Amino acid sequence: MTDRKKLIEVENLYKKYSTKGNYAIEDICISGFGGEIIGILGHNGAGKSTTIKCMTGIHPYQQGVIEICGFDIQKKHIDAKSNFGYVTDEFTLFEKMTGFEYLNFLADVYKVDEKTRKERIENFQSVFALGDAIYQTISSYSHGMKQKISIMGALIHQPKVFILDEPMVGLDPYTSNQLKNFIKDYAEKGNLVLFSSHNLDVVNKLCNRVYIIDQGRILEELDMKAFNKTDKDFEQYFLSITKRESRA
Amino acid sequence: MKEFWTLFKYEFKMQTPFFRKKGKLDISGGVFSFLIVAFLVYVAVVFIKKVLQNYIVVEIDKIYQPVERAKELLTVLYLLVLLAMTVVILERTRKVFADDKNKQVFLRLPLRKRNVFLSKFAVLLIHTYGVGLVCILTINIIVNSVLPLGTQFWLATVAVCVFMPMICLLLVSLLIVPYIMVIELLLNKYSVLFILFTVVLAIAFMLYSQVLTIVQTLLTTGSIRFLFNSKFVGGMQTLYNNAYPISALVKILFEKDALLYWLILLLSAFVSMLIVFVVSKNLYKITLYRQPRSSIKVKKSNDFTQSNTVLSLVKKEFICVYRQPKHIFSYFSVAMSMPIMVYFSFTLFDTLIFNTIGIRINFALALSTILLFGVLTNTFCSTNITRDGLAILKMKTLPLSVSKIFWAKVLFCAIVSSLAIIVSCIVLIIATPLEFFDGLICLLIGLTFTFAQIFIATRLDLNHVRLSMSDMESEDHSSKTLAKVVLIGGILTLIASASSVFFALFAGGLKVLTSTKVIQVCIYLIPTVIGGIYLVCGFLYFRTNILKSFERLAND
Repeated sequence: MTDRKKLIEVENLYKKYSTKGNYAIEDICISGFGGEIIGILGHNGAGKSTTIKCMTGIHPYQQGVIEICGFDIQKKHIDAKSNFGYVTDEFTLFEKMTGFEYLNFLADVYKVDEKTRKERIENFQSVFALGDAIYQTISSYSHGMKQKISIMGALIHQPKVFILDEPMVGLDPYTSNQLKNFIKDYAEKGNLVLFSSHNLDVVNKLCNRVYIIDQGRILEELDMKAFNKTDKDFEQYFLSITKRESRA
Repeated sequence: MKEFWTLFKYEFKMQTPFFRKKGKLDISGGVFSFLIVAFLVYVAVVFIKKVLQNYIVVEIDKIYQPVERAKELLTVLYLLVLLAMTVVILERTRKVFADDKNKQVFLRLPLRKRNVFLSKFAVLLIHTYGVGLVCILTINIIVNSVLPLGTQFWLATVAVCVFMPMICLLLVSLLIVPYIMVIELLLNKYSVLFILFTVVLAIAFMLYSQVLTIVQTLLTTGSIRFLFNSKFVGGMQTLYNNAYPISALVKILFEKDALLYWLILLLSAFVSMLIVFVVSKNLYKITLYRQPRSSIKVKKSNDFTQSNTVLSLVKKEFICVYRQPKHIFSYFSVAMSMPIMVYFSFTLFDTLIFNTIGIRINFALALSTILLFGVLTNTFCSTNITRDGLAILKMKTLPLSVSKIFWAKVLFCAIVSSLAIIVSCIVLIIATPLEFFDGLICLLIGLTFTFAQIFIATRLDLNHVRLSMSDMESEDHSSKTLAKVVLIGGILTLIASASSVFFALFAGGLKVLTSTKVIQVCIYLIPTVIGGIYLVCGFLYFRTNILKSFERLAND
């Protein structure tokens, strides 16, 4: 961890989808520092995506504070959004654009100058091996290619915070490995990577800290380095606490 | 059998959008569509009846043969019905068999392919017979009302209702394979599609203007008999004698000794159904495992130039619209054809009014046509948000203000619509007696109406948005949004046009008597004020709580 600057601060976050219904997430508190890889772990429907969608400005929320690099996502949303890149679990891509047009469009939005964007796009092309497919419309891309262009778009402005929602779903082993290595490298440069997953193995191997979430609440915050020094099995531990909470 | 019925019900819902909206009936959309169809049918009925009344009394060599004339006209009408049905069913068949987005789901499910095919085919048959029944019955009722015919006519009508869709399906099965090939070839050639759509629309409106000319003649002289000279009737007779199997259909309606034609039709029907069944079954087998080509490769670009954010957003809007065939038509081709529609309508009604009351009301007429066609053209704005699908949520994660996102959308629509209005005004100034100053005022009022409508349509779409998984599968505009946009724009257009026409006619009548300065001012002032109020209200409606509505997007 080269930089201990706090880049994400979520405090007492509450969100419900309708005015009368129950809270989808309650009292969520998350903090993240430069150089960290943070995982949000939970079953399907636990509230991982809702939390991330609140953090990225997609969902409005009823209570709480979300700050990205010190900027409130609601009050100073433009500054906050300038500081993160987001890869969603649904491919919210403009599929009639080519990969190249999409990256250039995002570079314009993030105000990346000509020279820098050229360097980054060429670098991404070699890292993610998209080749000439970048000049084809996104609609023709495979799942993995869409994931790659989505990641390239999220990183075009080299944000301090990189947020991914279920990034490994549907990826082949090669692309998955590439992405894991990329996440590690990106965090080592002093950036914060935060991702949600229900893949215990990925979270265990990749993350410094993990938030276990179930039924919209954070059950536990784990320091993975410390946890792995104990003789507890991560899978059994996760299942036991989520089961216990579900029963309660 | 249960499997077939389940699939049949599903297929029927999918092919009948009226029943599809969130599993409930789209009542308002249905009523609006019904009213439009009812209006069009009414106009068609009145027109056909008038033409028929005029045509059956035409005498060739001083011989009065109403039944012969009716047969000739009926042949033309049936041919037109057959042509229209073939075009509609051809496209529907392509969609059902070649463009079914759910066929991958069917492939994975333990369903008998025969049942999947039969359910699709059965719904297609129902639609074909439904369309055929409405058209044939309408025409035959008109014929019977002008020229009362006996029981045989109605018995034969039943046979026509059975045979005509069969002929249509035969044509469809012969054309479907080349049609699919052409469509797939053109699907990614956006510029070719744009030119093609625009040319077809322009030709359609030129033909429409010919129909309007007949209407004009009818309105001014009360008769169109002079159009039906011996040469015209000769052409109709040749058509009637040679247009098989349509002529056979007409013959069984009127002739008692038409056994030969009955046999011809029965044989044709049998062969038709056989061909149709074999072709559709094979078509289904061929298309079932085929993936449509959806990729286009754009020229390798090294253009990394940084653009202004709003320009970049507008460019994104342009790309997303221009690379979708259905959007090319509604966004660009209709707008580009607008000047032609305006020109033909203006010249026609100018002559009509001058011939009827001897007054020229160029400004009022130009304004009415521009506003009317502007309102109808601008309906494309009602998909301004919907067309992005879930991709609109990506915009929420970008460092962009809500105003920038929406201004880009409004600006893109405004460029397209303004171009149509500007070109229409230029055409009228150059090619008609409309004066430059009047053209300029028309342009100004036209633009205020256009911008107001874009604001309202965009906001209505935001309020009632239905987001699909991607911009590729984005839903067509909601009938409710479209209905509201047309209704608001239509009513205000009517008020502005009517006031202008009224004062123009009034001023024309008073010209010789007194000073008409006040009235002259009213001609310009009232539509300008209405346009101004419409623009301000539209803008306020667009802006009010837009942030909240945009925030709510993901929650819906």
